[in-house]
Amino acid sequence: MDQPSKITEYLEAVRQQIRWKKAQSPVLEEINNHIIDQKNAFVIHGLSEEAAIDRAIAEMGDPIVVGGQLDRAHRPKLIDIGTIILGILLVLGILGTRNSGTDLLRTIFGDQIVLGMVIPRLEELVYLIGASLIVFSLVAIFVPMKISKAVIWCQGFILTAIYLSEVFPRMRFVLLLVVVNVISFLVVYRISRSVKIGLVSTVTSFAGLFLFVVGTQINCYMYNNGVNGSYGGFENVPKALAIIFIMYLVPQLLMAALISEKNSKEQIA
Amino acid sequence: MTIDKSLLTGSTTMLILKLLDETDMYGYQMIEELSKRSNNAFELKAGTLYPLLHTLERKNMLISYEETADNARVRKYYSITTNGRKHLKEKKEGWKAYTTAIDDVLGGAGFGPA
Repeated sequence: MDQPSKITEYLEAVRQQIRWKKAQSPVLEEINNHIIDQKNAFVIHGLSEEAAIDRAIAEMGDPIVVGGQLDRAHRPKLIDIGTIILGILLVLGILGTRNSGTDLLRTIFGDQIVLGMVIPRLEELVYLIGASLIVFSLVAIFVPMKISKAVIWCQGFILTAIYLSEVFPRMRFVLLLVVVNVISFLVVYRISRSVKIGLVSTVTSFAGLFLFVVGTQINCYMYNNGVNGSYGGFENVPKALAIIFIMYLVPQLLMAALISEKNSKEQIA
Repeated sequence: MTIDKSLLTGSTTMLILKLLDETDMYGYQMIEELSKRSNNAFELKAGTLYPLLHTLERKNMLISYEETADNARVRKYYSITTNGRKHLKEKKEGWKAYTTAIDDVLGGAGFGPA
């Protein structure tokens, strides 16, 4: 039997013990690296290539035992499964109450939930919370660990955006852009592995939107001036820019900060 | 002061956290370093190390990141978190209390005459 396949065989035996598919490949890569490091060290100490591989594999220990321990270290967290169930219950609860026309939630909680604060669109909110619990848990279980955090953030923004657009219909346009922008950021980041390049799309589209808003207002100003003889049209610019900034740039920057904090070691080392 | 019962089994955790408290390392490096510093007294098995590292990572005591080493192999480095440092401090205190207690018994009355 040739040597590399001995390592492959060992790794395969370990793989079979790890039930959670998502965890398998990063773990095996790490083990593989370790065996190669160990083998190289043995070769330096004077062993032949073949003997070094045998020793390195022997040093790792029984693949069944090692795999079993790794399996215990990598299991979907119970809380993820719990939140899925809670999410499904919330979603079903809302669908049920809305179909039957009875407002179960209002009966239970009333309109005023916290200190007399009226929560607008309560059913949608609870529905979205339920949906997001399901989505987040599924992401935590199935999406590769490297990007699961970013995906959860992204999903969070989208769901928040949907709720806000229910409450404030006029914001829908901006929110739609946020979604597109977050996705493009993630795609560019995934490809380039660089937060800076990922943010290029954010900054350019923000600049584009900025020019768009200013342009419409200039148009408005000229139109008002020409047709009505009155001046005006810029009074909405600060408000529009503030909305765009908050809904558009803040989530991206947060996400970028999160990713670059995670990667900061990488840049230093 | 009571002694943590998992002290002995948990001492590997303490040693790993201590190594990472100084600098980021990858798995193989930790085993080498531990063996070197303990004059080969601690021969940590890789089969023990990785499950432990992964468990610590899930408990947010460590974070990992990948870095391309020579010949394009990607190495997984581990780095201690604030949470991990806190845990290390607690473990160290527990360990000190334990060894002090042992010393007290061994070095106290009844130890000499045997």
